[in-house]
Amino acid sequence: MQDKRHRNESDMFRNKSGSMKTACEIIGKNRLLVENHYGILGYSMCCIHIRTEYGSIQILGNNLCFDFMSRTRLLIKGDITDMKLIGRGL
Amino acid sequence: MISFFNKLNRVEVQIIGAEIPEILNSLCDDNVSLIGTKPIDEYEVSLFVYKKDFHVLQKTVNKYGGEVVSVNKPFLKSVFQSMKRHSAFLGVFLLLVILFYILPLRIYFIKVQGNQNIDSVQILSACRSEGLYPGVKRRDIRSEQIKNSLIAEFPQIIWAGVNTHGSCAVVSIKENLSDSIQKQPIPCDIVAASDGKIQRIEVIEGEAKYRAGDDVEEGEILISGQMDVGLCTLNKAAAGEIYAETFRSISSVIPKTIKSREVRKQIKHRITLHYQNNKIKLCFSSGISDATCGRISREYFLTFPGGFQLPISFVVDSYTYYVNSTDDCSVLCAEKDLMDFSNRYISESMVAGEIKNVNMQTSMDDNMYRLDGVYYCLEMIGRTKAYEIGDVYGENS
Repeated sequence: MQDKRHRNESDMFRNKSGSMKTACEIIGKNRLLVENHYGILGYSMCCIHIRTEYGSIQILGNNLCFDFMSRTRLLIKGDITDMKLIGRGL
Repeated sequence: MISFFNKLNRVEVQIIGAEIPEILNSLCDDNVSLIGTKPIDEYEVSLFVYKKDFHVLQKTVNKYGGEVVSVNKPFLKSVFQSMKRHSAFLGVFLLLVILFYILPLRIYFIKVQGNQNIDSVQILSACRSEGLYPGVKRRDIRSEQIKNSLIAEFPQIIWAGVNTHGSCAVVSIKENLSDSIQKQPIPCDIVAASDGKIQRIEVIEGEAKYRAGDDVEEGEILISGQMDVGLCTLNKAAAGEIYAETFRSISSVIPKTIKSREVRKQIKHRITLHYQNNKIKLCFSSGISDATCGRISREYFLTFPGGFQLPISFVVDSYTYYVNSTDDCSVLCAEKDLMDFSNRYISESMVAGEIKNVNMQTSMDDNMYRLDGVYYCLEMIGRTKAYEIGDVYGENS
């Protein structure tokens, strides 16, 4: 039962081609978790551009840094003030 | 605690390059976990990576024409920086370090050993009066003063000493267990222990019966304790040194075949943790089945810096397997061993003196080598012989 539910949740994050969908999750006050990202387009202390399946995500704030970064997960830490989805992605 | 050790496993690096985002993306594609990535400027970034990923990072950065600078921090500095967040842990750690350096400065335990007839409480009481009590500073202990006090207070004690191990002081006692303490010397003579020709005679007490150059036989009185003073005869303890030329003969044998042991397998160890009467086996190599194995035990007590010793010890038992083998002994080897043994035996059997000359002959029997030697020695032949019961002695005999 639990495996079935987990599979359903996992399917929810997949697109038609079977690859995982990009998901953003705000954790607490100053953390943002981006799952299944497609890489970084640019970054600075106040602005980060992340490439996703649907376009690029622009994160604005102060003292931004990547707390953790791996192939699938990206944890951004800092005073996040704004987040925008810009343009069409892949 | 796990995160603390994880931090120790990381290395801080700075990446300098024109294409920082591409480098970071490429590192992520190579399954390298990047931790705490902070941009310094447009072309420079600071981050932590696990030590195992460092080579991959270096290769990737070089591929993009960048440069990796490793920020090496001293080990202790990085440890303290990692512990900064765990203030309670850091506080306890610092407290323990301070205690380990302060505790051994004072004595908290006093142990008395070697006493059989005297009660430990009495010894401790005497030590207290001389400044050895729980809580005293180690540097204030005067072991010589305590020793003199103990010897003066307890006549049975012939030797005493105070040693400190960390915060534990050990008072070692040696008692005189013989019932009769010899206060006065017993009247005695000095007799010859063996036949010989006297070379030198020095009388300290008593009356010499022979002169230098005289031949003496075993058992003859050389210095008499009886002294004729005219009206009466005084019986005293004779004392003196008599050196004489003696001949000693010795026969020693050694078998032709020698049984020896040689190590057959590698040494195996068994490690046990001892706490009071409890024993916990930590590591034991199995497979010990032969009776031909030697065992050596070594005990290591847990000791902190400064010498503070805990009642916990590791006992390492080493088992060495042997195999018995039989080897033939050559003539030269046998002769050398026999000569060494004979010389050592003669030297040790003399009270004082030296070997002047030696005449040796080696022979071979059925299954052994034999060495017959005659030693010409210059040795002290005097031995004290107390008056037996029935002899009349005293000041007015």
